[in-house]
Amino acid sequence: WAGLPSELVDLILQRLASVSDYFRFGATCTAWHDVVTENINYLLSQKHPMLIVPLNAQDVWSLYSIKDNKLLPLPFQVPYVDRFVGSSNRWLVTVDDDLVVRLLNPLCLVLGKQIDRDLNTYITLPPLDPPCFVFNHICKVVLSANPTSSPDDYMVMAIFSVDHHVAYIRPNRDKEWTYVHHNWGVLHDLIYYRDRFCAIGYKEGAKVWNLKLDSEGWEWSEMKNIGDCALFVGDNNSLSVVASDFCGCQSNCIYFIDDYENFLFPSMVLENSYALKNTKDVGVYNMETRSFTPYDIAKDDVWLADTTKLRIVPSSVVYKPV
Amino acid sequence: MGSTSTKIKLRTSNQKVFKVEEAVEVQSLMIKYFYENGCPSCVILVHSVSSNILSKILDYCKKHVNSAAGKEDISLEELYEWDANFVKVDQNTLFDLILVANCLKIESLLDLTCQTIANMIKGKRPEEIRTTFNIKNNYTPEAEEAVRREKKWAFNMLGV
Repeated sequence: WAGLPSELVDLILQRLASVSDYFRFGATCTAWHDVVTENINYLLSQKHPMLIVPLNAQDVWSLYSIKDNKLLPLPFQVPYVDRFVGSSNRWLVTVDDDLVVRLLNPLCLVLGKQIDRDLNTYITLPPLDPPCFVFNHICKVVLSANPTSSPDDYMVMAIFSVDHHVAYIRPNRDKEWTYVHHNWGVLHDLIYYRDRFCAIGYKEGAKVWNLKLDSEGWEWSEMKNIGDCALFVGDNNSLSVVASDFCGCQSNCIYFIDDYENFLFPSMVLENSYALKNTKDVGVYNMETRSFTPYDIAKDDVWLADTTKLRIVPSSVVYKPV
Repeated sequence: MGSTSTKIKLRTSNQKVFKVEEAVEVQSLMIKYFYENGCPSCVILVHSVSSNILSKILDYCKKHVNSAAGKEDISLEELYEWDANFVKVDQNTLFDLILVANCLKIESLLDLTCQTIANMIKGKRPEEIRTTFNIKNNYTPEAEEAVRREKKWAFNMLGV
């Protein structure tokens, strides 16, 4: 069986259910290990939303698998002073003390090795203009594809500054950011979904904007309906899921997760999320009825009360110790 | 597509040649591709296939073609059950089935066999997987030690 062609080993690997299964499968023999190594990024990004959690050591983080309900033995180093402003395609976007925006691949940042300048793990983006002086002014940075697998095509889009500027760059093609001039009001969030960037704005109520780049430029359209999707909107990253895949999620709804001013303590992550229960800006917005239901402790809403579902909610939100 | 006499043949690595039955032609994307590209008398080289495997493949294709065409009154549940029984075979047969399914691009059979193997692997430790599939541990002692150390370190780090 060790001689099974790697494409078939891959097909079997894709049908395994948990992250521990991937690792055990890889530990079986070196040929299978190679297949796992090659595909692990893809598998994790496609099938397993993860939490980024700090470990009990300086600047060390690890990934927490929601599906497996445990920490993965994949610690990586990012200075605690850095802020995470996005994570997509299994890459993280950080802003450091000097407001330098970097793309990092945590799975390549293995502890003990210094961060090197290898393009596969670490990409520094040019400075944004106007320059940001306060670190939370870089609001969100999103990648359209994985820089490792699509080095020439991936695009990075950012919402930044108090005026909510939008800029994008193809790091391997462009030397500078391209700025999109808009009058869409306050943009809160950005995701990349099904070949397009989607932004959430706030102008007379929450709206979902659809961004499409064609030869003419950017075209935005308001989305009235997101169908069977549920959007999770958080500080570090937002994600969309097919609601029917996750029991407890309502379709056509936007779930607002705690913002970064209420950092959660790591000790609370694994408990019943005390911090989430004490925040006021957590709730569900229904696209159809156009109504926002704040999370109510007394009612103990199902999507927050059940811990398994709860862990889906902040799946890519960074928990940072204060 | 081929009707009375099929022209596409399979040749195994030990030089045996097999005729392909119509039901297999219908299910195989590879054979369909050959027909559609004006190559109706090719010989497809397969890794190794015994007449036993080929007749199993034929059974599978017939069952699925007939049920899809409504020639056979079988519910979806019954078909799933039939599939489940179909793959209750020894490891060597399963190995050959997956190779032929891949070679002929019989997608549903490829899915079935891969899923069967994945289910056998789920939750097993590496040594159990090796035993089940008769795989030799080819890690060098150094590599295995490195993996073990890494794991141990990670476990200490994670406090589990």
